[in-house]
Amino acid sequence: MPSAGEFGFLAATLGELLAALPVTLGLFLASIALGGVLAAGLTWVRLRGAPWIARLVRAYVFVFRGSPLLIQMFLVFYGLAQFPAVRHGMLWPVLRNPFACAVIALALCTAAYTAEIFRGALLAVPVQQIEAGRACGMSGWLLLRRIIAPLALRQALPAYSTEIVLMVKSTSLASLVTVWEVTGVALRIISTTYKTLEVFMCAAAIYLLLNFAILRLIAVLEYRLSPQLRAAAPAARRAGAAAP
Amino acid sequence: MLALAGLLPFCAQGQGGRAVIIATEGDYAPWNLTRADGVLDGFEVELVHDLCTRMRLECRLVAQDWNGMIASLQAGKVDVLMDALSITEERRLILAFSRPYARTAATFVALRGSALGRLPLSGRTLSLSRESAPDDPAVQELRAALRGRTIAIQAASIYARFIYLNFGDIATVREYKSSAEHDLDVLAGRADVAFDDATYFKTALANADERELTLSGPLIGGAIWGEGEGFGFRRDDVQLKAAFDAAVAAAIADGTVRRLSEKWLKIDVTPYQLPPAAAVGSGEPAAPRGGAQPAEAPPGDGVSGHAAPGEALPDVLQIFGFGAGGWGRALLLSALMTAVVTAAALGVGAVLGGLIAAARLSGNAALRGAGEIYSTLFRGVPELLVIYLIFFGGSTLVTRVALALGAGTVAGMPSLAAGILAVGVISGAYQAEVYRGGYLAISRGEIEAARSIGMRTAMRLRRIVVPQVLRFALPGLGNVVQLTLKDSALISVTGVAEIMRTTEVGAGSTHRYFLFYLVGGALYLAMTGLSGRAFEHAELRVGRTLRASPGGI
Repeated sequence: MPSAGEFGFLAATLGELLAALPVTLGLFLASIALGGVLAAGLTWVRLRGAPWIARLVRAYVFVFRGSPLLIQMFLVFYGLAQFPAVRHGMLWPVLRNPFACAVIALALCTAAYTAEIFRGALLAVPVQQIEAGRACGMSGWLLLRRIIAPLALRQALPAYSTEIVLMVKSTSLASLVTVWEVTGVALRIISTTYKTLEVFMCAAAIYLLLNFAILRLIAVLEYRLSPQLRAAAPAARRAGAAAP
Repeated sequence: MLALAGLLPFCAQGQGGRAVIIATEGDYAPWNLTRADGVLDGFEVELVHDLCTRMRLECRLVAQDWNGMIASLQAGKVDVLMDALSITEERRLILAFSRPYARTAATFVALRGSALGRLPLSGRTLSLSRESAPDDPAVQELRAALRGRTIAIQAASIYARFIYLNFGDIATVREYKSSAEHDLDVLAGRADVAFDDATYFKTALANADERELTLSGPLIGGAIWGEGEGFGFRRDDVQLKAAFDAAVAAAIADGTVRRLSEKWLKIDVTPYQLPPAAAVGSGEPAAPRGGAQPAEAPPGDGVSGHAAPGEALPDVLQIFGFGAGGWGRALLLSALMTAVVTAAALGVGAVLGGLIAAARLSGNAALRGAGEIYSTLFRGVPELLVIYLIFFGGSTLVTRVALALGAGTVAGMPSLAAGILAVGVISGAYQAEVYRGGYLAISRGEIEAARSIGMRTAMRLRRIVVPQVLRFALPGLGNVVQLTLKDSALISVTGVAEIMRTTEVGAGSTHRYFLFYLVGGALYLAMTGLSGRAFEHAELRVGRTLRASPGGI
């Protein structure tokens, strides 16, 4: 029987957690943007670059996909700073900042995953379509923009949506490096009040809503990008879904 | 002796012959720590063994991550929490505490030789009775020295409040998740001083990684820190609490607490007076802190010289070796545990994922909806919470049902099974997406062709759909395997000794954080390397049927 006091506690907790939401969103957007750019570069280099560069990229992907983000973040933030050369180097003003460090660690990690997704998507573009494009006289950039990128993007979306949602949740590790986002604040409230399940429920609700909104957005995008798969759908549904 | 008499009714009744289960973190040296051979040790561990002998109780110690401890207590998986818990009124709403068995002082730490390496009042003991005392002359001296600096504290500790109240207006306060991290950030120069428990600092500073740090400023003790550290119980567990209260009183009276405290903490932390009910703000005189002088006062570099750079390598070899005191065996076993958990969870996830993908692609709207809810829910909620719900929520449910049926206490779901189920449920949600993406990548013409030559559903699945889904899903599946491997780290909250948990315990017990994190990372890399190799071979194999890839765009 939850009493008025318990509801008060839940409301206060929710308020405190929501106050940390901008930090979570900031971490997420910055790291997805930085990670996306990095991943595009990595994919390009891996498919087109010299063999030794491609091997380097593979090593990068291996290390960052292969170890837990928690350990990566710990080593980027606390580990790098142990070297005097880093502390006196030009990057220190950036690395000194916990938020920037968290974004870098998150972006490095997501870039490794995203590069794999992009690569898988490129490999799934039917060769026939590329040949058809070539036959029409397209080449290089035009071929990439008109044929390969849209098809690859469509193919990548389910996996990429997974990666994006993962990133939302990965931001929860940033409290390790003193960036107090939603999960960090939740853990802090738990440490003082010991009300584990209640506080976690509030935090979970926030993440769930956030991720639900993101997944909806991607679903709309997926629908828009796949006209060829819609042919069988009834006309009425098509009109309704295209409206938003 | 009156105290001991109070135990008798408890002993007579007992707990139905069941051992009392005591949970501790096992990585907060010197209070509780794990030796390389896996045995728990430390001030609290020795103390509780003594108390259990006194109470003639059969006690069993379990090591568990802090994040799962309170839920474990409430779910009835453990009976006592022992983790240097500071007794506060706010926490009393949730837990019952024994009377304190320790009361410690706090102090600052700074870089040796820096401007703050010798704060005012260094080497002195300061007793404060009010939490907010910016007008106290001693505090004012400290305020002058710390103006404009960055002070690092452990989030949500009793010390955090003190620092905010007295220095929050003149200095930057930065909160860290654990004590180890604020030490490292003082070393890195992002924070100028750290403030924490003096007994913790004395052990931490004695290790090679933190040689550059020094104690600085006064030892601050007194009524501001409340009653001290006590054992935590369920609030309705009155008998057990009474038994511990009496045993702690007896151990304090005969000097056991003092002896163990001096052995482990190098300082006497006995809370001599009975806890005053409301001492805060009463301006009581300095509490006698029985010889609370630090053995290594700030100016002397009394910190025992650990490994010199030249002998660093043998040191590392010893720590990770297989001999006595080496962590090699524990780490190898933990890797095995991670492999077992991951493989089992992937199996659970493959079944669930296949079903969910089929549901999401089916023509039935209800099935599609259910599949979508599953995907959204288990991908959208932080993994830690899913594990909490299945592990702790699940066993609370089992316990309640058992009690309702009059069965008394039951063991609940075993940790390992619950952990595997939780990770598998999450893995299933991700696998479903990968399978669905793979299915959508099959060109429709092929399915239509299969249909037109009269293949039935089962044959179509077997000959056309599944092989192609697997082919298209391979890169994504590789991702999910890595993901599940790393999610398995989260079940460390249930106390299963996999790589992450062993790494953290090792780091906390030896204070060699970088070494252990590097080795932990390397172990994960080795395992993901193996699985990556396997997927690469698989990709090559299925790739034989693909024509020249767009690598030649």
